[in-house]
Amino acid sequence: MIGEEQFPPGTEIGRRRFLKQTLFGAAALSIARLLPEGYVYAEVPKDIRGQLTFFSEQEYLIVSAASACLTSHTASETPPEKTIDVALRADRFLSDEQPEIQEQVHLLLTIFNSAIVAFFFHFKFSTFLKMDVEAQNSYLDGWMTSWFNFRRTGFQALKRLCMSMHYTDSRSWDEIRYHGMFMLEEQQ
Amino acid sequence: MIVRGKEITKPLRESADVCIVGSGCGGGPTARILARSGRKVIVVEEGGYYTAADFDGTEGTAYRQLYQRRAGQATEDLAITVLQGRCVGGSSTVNWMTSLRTPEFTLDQWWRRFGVEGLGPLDLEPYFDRVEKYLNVRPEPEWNHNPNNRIILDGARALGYRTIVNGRNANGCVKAGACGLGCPFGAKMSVDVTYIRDAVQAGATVFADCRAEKIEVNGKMKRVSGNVLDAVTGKVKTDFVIEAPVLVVSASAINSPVLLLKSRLANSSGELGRNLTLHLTTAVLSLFDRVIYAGGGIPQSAICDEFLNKKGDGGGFWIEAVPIYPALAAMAMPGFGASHRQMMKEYVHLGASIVLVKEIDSSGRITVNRQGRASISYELGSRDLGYLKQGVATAAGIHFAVGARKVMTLHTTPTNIASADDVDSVLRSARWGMNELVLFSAHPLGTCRIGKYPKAAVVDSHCQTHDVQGLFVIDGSVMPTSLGVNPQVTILAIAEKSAEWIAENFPRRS
Repeated sequence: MIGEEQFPPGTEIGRRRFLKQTLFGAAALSIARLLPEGYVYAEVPKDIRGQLTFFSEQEYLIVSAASACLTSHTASETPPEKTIDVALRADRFLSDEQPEIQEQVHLLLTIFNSAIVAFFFHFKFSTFLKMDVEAQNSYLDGWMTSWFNFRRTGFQALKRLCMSMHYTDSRSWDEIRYHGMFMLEEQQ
Repeated sequence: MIVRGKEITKPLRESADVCIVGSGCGGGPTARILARSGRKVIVVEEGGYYTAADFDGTEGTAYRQLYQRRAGQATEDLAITVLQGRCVGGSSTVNWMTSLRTPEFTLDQWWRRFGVEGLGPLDLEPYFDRVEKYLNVRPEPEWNHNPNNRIILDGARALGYRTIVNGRNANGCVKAGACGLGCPFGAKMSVDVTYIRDAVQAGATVFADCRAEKIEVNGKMKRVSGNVLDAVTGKVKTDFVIEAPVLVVSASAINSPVLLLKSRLANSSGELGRNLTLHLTTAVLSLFDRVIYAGGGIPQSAICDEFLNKKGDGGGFWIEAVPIYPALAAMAMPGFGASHRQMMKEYVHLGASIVLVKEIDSSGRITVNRQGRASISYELGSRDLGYLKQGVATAAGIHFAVGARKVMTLHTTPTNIASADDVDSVLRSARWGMNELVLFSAHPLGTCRIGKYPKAAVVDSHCQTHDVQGLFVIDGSVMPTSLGVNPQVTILAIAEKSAEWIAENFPRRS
C-alpha cells in the first residue's frame, strides 16, 4: 500500500525524543520497562472490563485515579447518572489514535506508575496506584513542577487527556454553568 | 462534485489539467479560479466533508471531525499545541474569522530580505479588496462586541494603548460563538462554502478523505498518489492516483513540506521544512465579578496592536480575545485538583485574552517521522521570549484596568496575580521554559518559503517551485516570515494572485 516507502535518511525524528534524549528520561524508561506490572490494588468493574480496547486493566485504573485527582471529581461523591468515566472515554478516544501516539501513552503510564521512578524523584518506593489520595496529589504536583522536562511533558499529556475527556462530556457542564453556544438571559 | 471517502469503493485513477492537494485558504481560491478558466480541476483533501448540519457546536464533535490529530497536534516535546483544520475548507472552517490584511512592514521585509516581487502592498491591494468583498469581510459595530472583547477594547483604551476592530468573514452571524467548532448556522464565509462551492459549480471535483502520500514527476506530468481513508476510523480503504501537468500543493505549513520531503522534490535549497514560524501564542485568564461568558458571542472582534513592530525590528506582540469552551479552558487553566475545579465553577466569570508573538529569532522545522507524518520542532528565541513576557504582563494589566479580581497566566506552576501592582514581581519569579508555560499556535507558516533566489527559497514569487516547473506550493507555508496578523486573508490573496498567473501561463490541455 502507498505510504510504506522508506524516507530520506536524516529526516526521521521519533516522537519519543523527549524521553530518549534526556538522561533521566532514558534511565527511567529503561528501568520502568523492566519492572513487572505492579500489584493492582483496586479492581476494574466487571462491566468495564469487557469494554476496554486500548488500556490494560492496570492502565485503566491509573488513568481513573489520576483523573480523580486532576479533575477533583470522584465517583463516590457524584450521582451515578452524572458520573463521567474519564478513563473509559479516554480508552475509546485513544483506540482510534495513531500507533505512535498509542505507544507513547503506554510508555507514559508505565513510567508514571513505576515505583522506581517514584523512589527516584519522591523517595517513596510505591506505585502511583498504591499511594493514598494525598500522596497521589503530591506525586502529580511533583510531575507538574519538575525541573525535568520529560516529567512536565508527561504531566501535561495526562492532564490534557483527563480534562478533555471530562469537560467534553455535557454532564460536566451544569456545574460550571456552561449552556452551550448562547449565553442565557439570566446570565446577561 | 464533492465525493466523500465512503463513496469511493475501488482504487481511484483520474487525470486532470490541475490537481490541488488541500482545500483550505490556499487550495480553495486556486481551485475556483482555475476551474472557472475552463480547466479540469481535481482537489484531494485529507479531511472529511461536512456541512452546517453536521456541526453541533460542541468540542467533542468538532475536535474529532474538523481538527488535525483531533486538536492534539503538538511539537515534538509536546510544549506547543498546533491547531489546524483538517476538513474541506481547512482551517477556515474552524477559525474565529479574524480577517486582516498583511501589515505593510511585513511585506516590505519580504521584498528587502528575500527579493519577493509582486507582493508589495500596492500589488496585493486589489486582491485584498476582492477577497474582502467576496467573503463579506466587515468590522463589527461598537455595540456588537461581547464582554470578553470589551475587556481588550476598554482595558487597552484605559491604559492608552492603540486598539483596532477587526473585520470578519460572516454573513448572517447569530453571535453563537461556535466559530471554532464549525458554524452550525452556515453564517461563516469559510472556504468550503465559498471558493470550493464555486469551484465545484464550475466543474471541479473534490475528493474528501484522500490523503496524498507521494508526488512523482515524469517529464511535464505530475503524479500524486495516496490513500483513501475511512472518515470515522482513519483506516486506509483503498488508494488513488491522479495525474496532471500542474500540481498545486496546498496542504499547510505542516503538511506541504512533509509531502515534498517524502517525494524528494523541491529541496535543492535545503530550506524545505525549515523556517517554521508559529505566531506563538499564550493566554491570560482572569476572574471578574460580572458575567463574561467567553464561550459565547462573537469570539474575536477587537485587538490591541500597540506593541506590534513598535521598536521597528519587525517583531512584537498583539493581544486578541479568545473564546474559551469548557475543555479548552480546563486544559489551559493552570494547576489541577480542588483549586482547578473551583476555578472551573467560575467559568462564566472568566475573561480570556491571547498574546501572539510575531517571531523574529525563534526557529522551527518540520521533518518526517518514521510513520511518514510531520514532526514539529521549535526553539523559542530570546528576543521573542522577551516579547512573550511583555505581552503577558501587558494583557494582565489590561484585564486589571477593567476590574479583574485576579489574573492567571498559563504557567504550569500556577501563578495568581492579585493586582496590577503585582504583575511584574509575579512574572519575574515565574519559569518560562518549554512545558513551563502552556503555548499554542493556530498560525503555522513558512516551511516552503517564497523568494527570488533558488538557493534560499523553495518557491518563486508566483509560488512555483524553483526546482520543478508546474509544481506549485500555495498556502501558508510560502510566507517567508511570521505575519503578525491572522493569516487567512494573506493566504487567500496570494492564492488568487498565483492562480491567475497559472491560468495565464499554463495552457489548457483540451
